[in-house]
Amino acid sequence: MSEALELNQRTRGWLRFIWDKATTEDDWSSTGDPLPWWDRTSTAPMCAFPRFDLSETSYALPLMADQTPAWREVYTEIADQLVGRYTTFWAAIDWLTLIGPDPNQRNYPPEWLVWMPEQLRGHYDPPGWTANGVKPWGLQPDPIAADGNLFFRGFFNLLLSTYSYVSGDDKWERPFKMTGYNNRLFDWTQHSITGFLKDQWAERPQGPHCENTKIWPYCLSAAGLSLQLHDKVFSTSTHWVYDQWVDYAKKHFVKRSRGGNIESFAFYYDPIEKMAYAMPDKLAGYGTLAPLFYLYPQAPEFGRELYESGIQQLGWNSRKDNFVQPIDDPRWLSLVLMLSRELGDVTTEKRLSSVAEREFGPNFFDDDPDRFAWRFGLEEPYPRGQLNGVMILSEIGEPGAWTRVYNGRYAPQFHLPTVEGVDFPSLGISEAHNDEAAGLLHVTTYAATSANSGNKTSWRVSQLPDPESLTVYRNGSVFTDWRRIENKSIEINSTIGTHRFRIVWDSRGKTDAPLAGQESMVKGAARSSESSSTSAPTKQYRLASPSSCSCC
Amino acid sequence: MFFRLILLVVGSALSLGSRLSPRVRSQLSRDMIFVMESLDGVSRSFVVRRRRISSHSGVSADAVCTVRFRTAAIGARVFLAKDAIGQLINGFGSLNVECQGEAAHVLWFYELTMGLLPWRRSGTEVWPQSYAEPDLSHKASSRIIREPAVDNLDSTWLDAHEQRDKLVIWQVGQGAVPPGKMKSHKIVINLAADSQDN
Repeated sequence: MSEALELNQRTRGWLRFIWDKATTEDDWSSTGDPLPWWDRTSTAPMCAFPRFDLSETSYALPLMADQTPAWREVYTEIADQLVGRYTTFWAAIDWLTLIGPDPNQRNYPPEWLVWMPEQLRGHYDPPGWTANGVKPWGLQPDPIAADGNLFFRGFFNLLLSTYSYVSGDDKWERPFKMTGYNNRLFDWTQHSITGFLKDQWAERPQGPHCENTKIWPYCLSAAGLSLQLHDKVFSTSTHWVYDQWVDYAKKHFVKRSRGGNIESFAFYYDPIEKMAYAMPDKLAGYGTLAPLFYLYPQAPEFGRELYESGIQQLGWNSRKDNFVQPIDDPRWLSLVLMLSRELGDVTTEKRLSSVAEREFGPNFFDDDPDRFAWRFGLEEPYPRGQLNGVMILSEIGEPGAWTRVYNGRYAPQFHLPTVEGVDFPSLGISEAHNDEAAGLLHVTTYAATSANSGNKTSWRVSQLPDPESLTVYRNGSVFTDWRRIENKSIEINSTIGTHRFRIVWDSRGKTDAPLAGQESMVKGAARSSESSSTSAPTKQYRLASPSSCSCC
Repeated sequence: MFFRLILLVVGSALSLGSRLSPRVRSQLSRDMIFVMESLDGVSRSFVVRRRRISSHSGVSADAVCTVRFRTAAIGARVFLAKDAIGQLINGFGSLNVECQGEAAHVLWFYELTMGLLPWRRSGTEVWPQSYAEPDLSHKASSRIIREPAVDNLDSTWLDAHEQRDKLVIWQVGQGAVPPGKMKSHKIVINLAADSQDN
């Protein structure tokens, strides 16, 4: 866990918006349509599917949970809604509808053709065309159990591991249905997906395929990260398959100059066409940097070498040169901004941050002070979920927080006093952590819906060792408007707004001075803060109706 | 002068290639105009129409992409360099080269041109331990349901057809313009003021 700090204003605004998205009912079945705020446009053709929004929305959750380890119920609810959607037709729509060779191979525009080896352009399936059904693989109706489609199960496993990490709950460890071709349903559990990933990868050290038939370090690294987090949370040992692949990648995916410098790290390799794809010259930096977001927490030494090479190639770390971004897609800068911060590359972080502040339109929604997102100069009704999901990571926690989620020691605080029953999104919690040694729970509330400021509210603290002997302070003074409600729980009555609570749940804490007006540390504090509100209905998405089930 | 000659040769070669080479034609999916020029007076427009390329001297106001070199000498040097794309990027940074439009078009155009030279094409690479056909002996294979190969989405699954029509990859493959580009994207950004602040 990273040091418990406070969620800054941008993070709170983003949390408010992803809560709306996750908990508002929409229909991801084959007869439905995800609501338009789910991003199925970004980084086409590879990522222009709404499941990438599910994945990228989830990345902030473990970081937020590490900031407020004593309050996780909202993150758990969002993660659960994301996982639920990931079992649907629309999550797997590429594998389920982009069948056979692409009939439009000759029709793609120049800006998409550049994502393929030049010799193959115009007679080759573009990245993103999954080509389920082609020879020699045949039609594979289950999007998870397939020779290809690694990116589907890898990112799914990462989302499932994220759910476990933030919730401590076993819901998705129990059998659930995954929608397949022609709406057939397949039984899976979190652990059976992990097991399938590991078994398949163990037998294919080059790496399983994403589309038929392309092997992407980017997706493999996400899948590897999912195994690492699974190992961390469940004390399993599956991640060795990624270590094995890294050795392979160093020998084959990486091209070095005679002097030993990295020249490129292939975006993908097609073992049937026997061609690797990397962009030429300095543009190779994009391929080198692309997988690092996932790779670095797993292989830091190799990751740093790739980072330094990629940054050098693109020249993004130069103090004196103009900043050049040849590819018209904010994802790249967003990824590298987060990485530069993670790796402590202050020069690059400052440069990229300057560009983002100037060009990416960070904005509390025009008439809404409670929600925050970057607009990226796009005149669209909703902010892009995929791009924002990455950008927000640079706002949460300290440098290194991302890596610590995946490779640090697993020290959940589920057994300690926990804040529950918060009336989110009216009331939010920006700080919630226990000081176990002192026997203290620090909680700071804020108005997550400004329009409800000042209204009465209540919330609970559970898992208190002895509710009879505790003392509650609010804004530095002893606070008495609370009551014991169960054996180990209390209910605190307050108002919607900013209040700092300190709950002394162990006698050791009573020797400390009360938290009188002390400011909490806020890392990555919002660079701008403007501040209406709409209510978010809290219903469920609808899953596919089964037409048949091949597995039970 | 030399840059003018280079552009003339490139235009002729692409024109011929678009008539004779299926490889070139298959990359000419969209009607468009691509312009290369220099501020000291050299300019050529490359016009793609119905999978054929023609070229003429001068610029075109409706070009999808214009690459502008500060001088013809710089244009010639960059175009003939072994690391031409790297030099272009450097040129953007030093303001010796300007790109109006998407830089991806420049990469596409350059690689299309270089693809006319067989020795400039990259070869195949056979990497060890490739998995290029199903191996039923694998442990994970037992979980995979493999049905006969098919070329098309099941024609009776009407819902799926309707949903596929909504995908960007399908719409663009059918001729749509890729959606959702940043209108304000700047290839070059001067950060000098920010550096001083820091």
